[in-house]
Amino acid sequence: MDIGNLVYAFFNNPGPGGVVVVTVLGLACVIYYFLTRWIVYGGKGK
Amino acid sequence: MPRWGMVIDLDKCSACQSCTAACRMENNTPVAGPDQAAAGRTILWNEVLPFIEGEYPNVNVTLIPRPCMHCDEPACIKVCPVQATYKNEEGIVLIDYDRCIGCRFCTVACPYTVRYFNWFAPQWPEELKDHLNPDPEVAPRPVGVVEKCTFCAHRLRKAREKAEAEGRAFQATDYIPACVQTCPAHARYFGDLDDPNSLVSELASSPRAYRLMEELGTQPKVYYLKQG
Amino acid sequence: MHPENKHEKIILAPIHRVTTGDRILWSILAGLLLTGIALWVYQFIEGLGVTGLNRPVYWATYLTNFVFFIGLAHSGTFISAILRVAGQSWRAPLTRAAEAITLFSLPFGVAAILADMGRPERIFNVLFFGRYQSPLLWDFTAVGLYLLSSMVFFYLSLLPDIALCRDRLTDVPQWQQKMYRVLALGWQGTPEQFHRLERVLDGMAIFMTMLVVTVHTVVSWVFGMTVQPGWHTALIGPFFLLGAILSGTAAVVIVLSILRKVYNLEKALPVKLFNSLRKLLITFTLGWIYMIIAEYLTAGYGNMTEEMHVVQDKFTGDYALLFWGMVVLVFILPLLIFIFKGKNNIGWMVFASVLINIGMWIERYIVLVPTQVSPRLFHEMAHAKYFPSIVEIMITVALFAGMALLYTVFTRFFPIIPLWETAEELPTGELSHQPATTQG
Repeated sequence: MDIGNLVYAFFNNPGPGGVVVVTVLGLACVIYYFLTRWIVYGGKGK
Repeated sequence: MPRWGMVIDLDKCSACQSCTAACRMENNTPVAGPDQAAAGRTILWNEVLPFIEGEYPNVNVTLIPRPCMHCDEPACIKVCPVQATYKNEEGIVLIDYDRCIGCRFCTVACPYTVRYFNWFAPQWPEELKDHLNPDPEVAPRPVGVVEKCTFCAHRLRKAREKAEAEGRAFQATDYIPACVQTCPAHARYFGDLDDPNSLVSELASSPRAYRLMEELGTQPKVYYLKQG
Repeated sequence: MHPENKHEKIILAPIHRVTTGDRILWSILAGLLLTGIALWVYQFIEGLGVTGLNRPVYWATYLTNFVFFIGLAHSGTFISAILRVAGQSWRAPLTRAAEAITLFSLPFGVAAILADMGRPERIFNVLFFGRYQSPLLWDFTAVGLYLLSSMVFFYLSLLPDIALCRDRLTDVPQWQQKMYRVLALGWQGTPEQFHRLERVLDGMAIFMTMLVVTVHTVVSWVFGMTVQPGWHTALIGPFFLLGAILSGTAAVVIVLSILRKVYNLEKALPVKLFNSLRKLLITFTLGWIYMIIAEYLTAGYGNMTEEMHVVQDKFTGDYALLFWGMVVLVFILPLLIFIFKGKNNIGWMVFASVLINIGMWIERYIVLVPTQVSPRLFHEMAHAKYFPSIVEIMITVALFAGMALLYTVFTRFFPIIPLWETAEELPTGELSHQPATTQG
């Protein structure tokens, strides 16, 4: 697994960067959704 | 793969600007008109720049025709967020006009200021409209995108196609940008820098040869032969 | 279920009705915003030629606005997150007002970038063809994450108070009551809910602090990663960051004083708070002048030709008025005012803060334009010019109007001072924040 080539390909081709942006923002959305749920559910079923 | 470069002999250049005119006609760059030109909106893929030092009568003038440097380590490509500008395998720095989002990061990153922007939709006076180059690769660019000298890459494509049609091998000398072809003083040379026998390779390693702002690490492929 | 807060009546008072004054204000602001949008549409159709931009000054007013508005956004995060992490409990009454600045300035920073693009309809190309080598991708990620996180942080901090509005405000219109019910997410105010909320906010505060540092540094790197004189300096990251915190904190002072006056919140926002902000502002403006000296002394002493064109332009040339004006507005006058007039005097504090923000807008402009006016290749023979066109000016006005509109509308429907964070005691039984004293 040539890491050097992989890194080069990541930075020098269009597309992967966009994937990173969408992944980061998407992941954040998911995390925030579950955190909000966890907070609000703190009153129920306890 | 060839690595295309240019050499411009400043002793031979008379600054007639035929290269600038030829480039405009070949590549369909829009006409800005006097008002827009005064506002700094002219698009000239090749420009002849005057560098004047000293005061009359002790003046030192250098007139430098300046196309795109087609750097081997371009500053423009690094910063493009969508890779609308890219360097092809033969070292030519090109722009995909359909992808460009018009952010103009490349235009401010280029230390040679060779990149231009379409502030309005392109326009020409009536007289020029009939004489646009019909080659689709140099079709007029739409508003809102960046453009610049391409070393007449469409001529490279045509030269390759011609060689194939004629059933012979493509030679570096088949391909010549409009500015090089037009220069009446034969001050401009073009060819494969990676071919040790080519004229440009020889000239590029002459003691008179230098490149603009070499210290920046951009590795420009346009060489100048010093005056005098 | 709702923590007791002796200022509850005062804090909820503004929400009970929308006044004629509000309607007039909102109409004016909306009118300015719509004018800006109309001009942007005109620009979209005609092209960026309708601005004053040119070659080589490719970036100017819109980019200045982008940096400025993102900088303002740091106000909220600084007060809410950074001071929270630092355990500065005096900040409690200010958090929502400051966070609202963040929330309502970020979208207009983003709008400024859209206004600057030659082909804004192709913005999604950044997602389809994005290249992480480009600082703009770093920007997209950082600012996007910051916007998202600020919205969530704001909403979560607001949640207990939405529930309080739902329960207490029975005289507001039906649709408004429904809005509270929906947005409250069934919040009951149990100790466990408060406990979890506090923990998440603590965690997010740490994350937002790191994000704040990242965002503004990354914004500065759009300039810093080029090799242009005046931009290519390692100091640009910290310089922009400090500038953001300075302009943001000054914005908080301005906004708080207006809220205090308009909504009669003197008891909930005592002078003591402004005194604490004053100390911070003195520190920040001193930090700012330190960076200015470091930057220009280094560039000037080095005497490199292309750098000196830019330095001289700013010191004695075409941009001298703006440059020295900036120094006066950001440092000289505010420092004198803070030291000699600012203590216990909100009027003077606001005046100094307004000067700071005007100066900081100029500062962003001064970073952007002179470097482009003297391009490397041309600097010996050409000196470009730039002046904003009416389109750029009106769009700038529209950005500010839009932010003010969102902010003022918000304050009429939600309590601008967090009731639960300034309460005497939370249902968890703990005193999470010391209540602000009411002297003054």
